[in-house]
Amino acid sequence: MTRIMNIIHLSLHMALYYWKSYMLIMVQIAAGAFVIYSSLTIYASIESRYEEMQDEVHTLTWHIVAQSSGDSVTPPISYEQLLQLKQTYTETMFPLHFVYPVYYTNEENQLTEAYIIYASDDYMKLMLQSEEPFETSSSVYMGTGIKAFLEKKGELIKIFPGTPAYHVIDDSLVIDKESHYSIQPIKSDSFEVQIHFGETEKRALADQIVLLPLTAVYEHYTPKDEGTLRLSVRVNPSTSGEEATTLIMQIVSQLFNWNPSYSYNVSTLLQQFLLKMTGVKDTAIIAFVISVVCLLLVVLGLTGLVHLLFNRRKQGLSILIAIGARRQDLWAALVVETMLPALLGVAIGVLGGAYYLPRYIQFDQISISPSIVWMVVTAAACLLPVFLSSSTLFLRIYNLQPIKILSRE
Amino acid sequence: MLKIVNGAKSYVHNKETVNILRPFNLSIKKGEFVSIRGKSGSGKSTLLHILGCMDQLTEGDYYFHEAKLSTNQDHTLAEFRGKHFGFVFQAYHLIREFTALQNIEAPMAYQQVPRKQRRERALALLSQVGLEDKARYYPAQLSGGQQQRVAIARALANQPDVIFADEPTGNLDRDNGDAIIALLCELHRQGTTLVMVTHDDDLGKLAERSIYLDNGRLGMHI
Repeated sequence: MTRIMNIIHLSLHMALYYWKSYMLIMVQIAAGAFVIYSSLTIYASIESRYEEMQDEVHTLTWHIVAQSSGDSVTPPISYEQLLQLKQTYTETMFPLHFVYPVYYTNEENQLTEAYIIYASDDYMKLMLQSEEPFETSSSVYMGTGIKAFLEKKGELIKIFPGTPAYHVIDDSLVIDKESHYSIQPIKSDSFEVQIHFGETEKRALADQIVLLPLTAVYEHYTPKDEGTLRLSVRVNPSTSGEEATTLIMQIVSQLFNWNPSYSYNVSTLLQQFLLKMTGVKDTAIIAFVISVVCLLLVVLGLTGLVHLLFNRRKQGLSILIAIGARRQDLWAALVVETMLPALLGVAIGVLGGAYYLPRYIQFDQISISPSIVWMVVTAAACLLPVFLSSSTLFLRIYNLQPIKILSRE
Repeated sequence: MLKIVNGAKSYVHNKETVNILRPFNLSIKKGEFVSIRGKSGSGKSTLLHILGCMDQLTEGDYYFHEAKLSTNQDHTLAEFRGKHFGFVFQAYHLIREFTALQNIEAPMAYQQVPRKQRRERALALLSQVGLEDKARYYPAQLSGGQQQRVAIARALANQPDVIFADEPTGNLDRDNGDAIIALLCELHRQGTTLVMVTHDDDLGKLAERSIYLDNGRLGMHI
């Protein structure tokens, strides 16, 4: 015990004596540890979020949004193509729907926005839990607000101006038993799903919605239509996130082959998120690589310094050997002496990172919190090379010839 | 106390054997003051280093109180050296990073002497060599004579059986040299065995016995 205390005491004394030489190294190691810890933590946080997303991805409904390039004369997907997709991907739901925004004046004489949605069977299943065939039927579902307006005014032309629905509904949608379309009130517990990563938000289906069978849209589609196709895809929950992503990409590719005059984007929000996180992840990797290179340079510098100090202290070490110091004790003292500023540097860097990261670094939906594991990993990553670097003195100490050195003076 | 039987020291240089110390026998009694004298390069420092276990014989055996030292390993010899021997060098060889006090404490640290004890003993030794007011001084802040006195105090730190002094006054002026010799003679009077290398005849005469070295041959014992 006394021997160990003596080694530590000697190391501490020498480290303090040569503090100016060690200060720069300590600062460099602190900077290296800070960057390594920060990049590791950020990278791990993003990775962890990625894994969460992998788990979430099969519970999400993916939205494929079709945008016309301007010269398209056909809808972005035909009904036959939808059936073909259903046949190909049997375990996948395709809640396809076209959405047309319309406006009407309500009882308070306010301009109100309503949506006419041409919906598929899968859409009805997901939104209304309705198992009845709908997409080729003659039924219409209406929200209470718009239904009340229609019942009171019956002026459909004001509701559906300039839409293909206008032609259909204006001629045939009369609210009586003879109507071509039967109007059904939407159940009060109906809901629509909004995609928000990690959460499935339920809310009552808006009053201002009219649901029409999907096939009606094809009968009256014109290139001027400003509606948006949302081909939603619900992947089987047993499918892994990676497989689900591949499957979505295959569907997008298939759609593009069928209708190249459209561009198909998979959920813009998801895309943005992935792009942003990929950027951050890449930055973290680059920062990590740079910091490791910097650390290696610092360690090389430290190795040089340690050997330089050894050369300067050969005489002192020889004297210590002459007065009874064991070579292994001197080597241990030199290693500890080198490790002291390194330990201090690592502590400053890691604790600095742990303090700084949660306060000043923020990414969407990613919480960056200090991790003991990464602290330990960073400390090990910084201290191990320093230990190896100072260990290179082992042979030099064992080859030290005190008599020669002391006789030279 | 110290005995070398059929000892010799040589090394090979360019495939030729260079004899530094030719075969010899030597014994030094407890409490004796022995001087080793000879011209430069005659091998007197080598002999001192062998006697002090800082170097080893290439032939023969070395005994300390009948215990054979010549077969011991480096770290065993280091511990032995620290416990039984004290060294005073011509160039003082104080550790520049240590204060006078810490220099005296150093040999005790390697003999596992607890910190408080070694601090007390180091202060007592500093007082013995008349430098109690220089405890916190670094070697560079001390004169040559003061440094050598600190070196003598350091040599005494572990209460050694033998003190080996290698030209202890070689770097000092007459007055400081005399003071150092007086200090060493006082230690000898107190019973410490003293082995001193010198080429100064006057100093050599102070010893009870002188060993002459001439080109590696041990000469007459007086």
